Amino acid sequence: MPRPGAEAQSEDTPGDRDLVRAEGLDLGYGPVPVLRSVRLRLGTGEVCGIRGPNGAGKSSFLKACLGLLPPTAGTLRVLGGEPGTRGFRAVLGRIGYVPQGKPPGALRVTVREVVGMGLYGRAGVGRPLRPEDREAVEAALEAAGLADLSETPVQELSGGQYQRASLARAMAMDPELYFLDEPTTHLDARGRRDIAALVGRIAARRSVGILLVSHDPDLLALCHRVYEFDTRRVRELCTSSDPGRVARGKPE
Amino acid sequence: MTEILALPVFRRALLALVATGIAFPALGTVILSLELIPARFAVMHSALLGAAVGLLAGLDPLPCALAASLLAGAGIARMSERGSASAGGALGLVMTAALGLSFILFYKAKVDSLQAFSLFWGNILALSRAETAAVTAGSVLVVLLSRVFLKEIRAVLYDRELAAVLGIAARPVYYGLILVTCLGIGLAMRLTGALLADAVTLLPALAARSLKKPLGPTLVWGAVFGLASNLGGLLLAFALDLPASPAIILIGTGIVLALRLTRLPGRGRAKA
Repeated sequence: MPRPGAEAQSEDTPGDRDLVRAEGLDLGYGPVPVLRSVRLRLGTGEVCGIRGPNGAGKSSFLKACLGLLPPTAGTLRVLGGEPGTRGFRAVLGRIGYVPQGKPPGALRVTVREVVGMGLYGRAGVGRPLRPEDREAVEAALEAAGLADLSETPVQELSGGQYQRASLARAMAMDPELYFLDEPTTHLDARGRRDIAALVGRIAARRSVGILLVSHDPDLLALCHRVYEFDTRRVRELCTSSDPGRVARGKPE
Repeated sequence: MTEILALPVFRRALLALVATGIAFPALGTVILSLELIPARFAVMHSALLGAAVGLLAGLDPLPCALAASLLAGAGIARMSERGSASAGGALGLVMTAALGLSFILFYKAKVDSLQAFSLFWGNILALSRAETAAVTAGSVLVVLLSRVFLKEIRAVLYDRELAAVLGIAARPVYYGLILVTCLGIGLAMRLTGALLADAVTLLPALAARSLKKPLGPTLVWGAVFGLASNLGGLLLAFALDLPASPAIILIGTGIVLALRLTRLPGRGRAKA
């Protein structure tokens, strides 16, 4: 379900267009600083990994990129927009976000409904999903191997199935940019393999960029660049046009 | 029965019970999904305080109760944004203070015990034409909003932060949900009283939730159970010469318990 124009974009040289750019970015919750002077770049066709200890600010950085946490200093641009500003809601429709964790809240929602939520913003307020949106939902369910579970409440899914449903929601949007927040945490070996395979298939489409927070070697093996977030500072570990070299710790 | 139906006061009661039975369980579903159980107590007590202020000022208590409910709702939505709406401390303070102030106002306004009693327990057979119109209009509003904005409501009830990231106007939807819910609680005060608003909101929603269905079917089942408990309660009240509100509560509780018992593990539940 590639979006119109995706093929033309795939002719671009990987990394030639900034999807995410942070310069001197500081983040914090009230008076408590979380990250200082973050410098990070993600270009078209690239996969970037972020790793680091708990509390290092990895998820906070993704939240800032989504406009949920305003920077305290520095600049942050995502798909050319400034997160948190009024015009950024239109940009959000071009971002596929997979949060970490289990199904939230007490409301029972089916897998198909969760995947369809990715297209709610596009459908418009008070309007049902359009036929083409419904087709995109079915295609994403199929691609994620969840077609048989489409009417199952997400609360009844295993951790791996739930993460695949979250990824399918992002895929249904056919976004230019993916933010994946620890998509394989708490999964067994098979679940991790399934998610890594799905992310690998998305990464193979060179018109998208992927920024993922993870410690999973299978996912980091897909990365062109890995950033190490440590308490209040960020280090670029290695960069390579060959993701395999990055994973092996042998940058160019 | 025909003679009873000929009475305007009974016809108004019937209309209000049918309308709220269909619509107000949706508000209970919102309360349950947003985990606002402690917060709705504060709204119920605030509605009572609003009515007491109205009585003291010589005004119609219903609009005053609605205004107080909406104010409480705005406060709860604001607290919830800061992550503290389910915190018991502040809400407990609001509840106790509102109840204490209400009693003082009843005393100072020399409200007779029967009038005060009707605020606590409601009086379905004392609905005026204007009150019936307000309750019916509120019910229609709830049904319309649930129908038109079902997908936005689903996303916000599922995960408010995610809804915002997906480009949905999550904040206005959230505030709208809280305010309409508080409006419903304020309207329910005339039916079942400030302290028994759960009869028409929470109990049918609890029954519907026990079926473990997605949001759409849950709202439909809530309407079925709401209608059943409201009409069943009214019939029970007539049959046994009981006050209507507690009778509705009894039927609603009975439905919830019956569903819980029949859906216990090992009693034919389809899926574990």
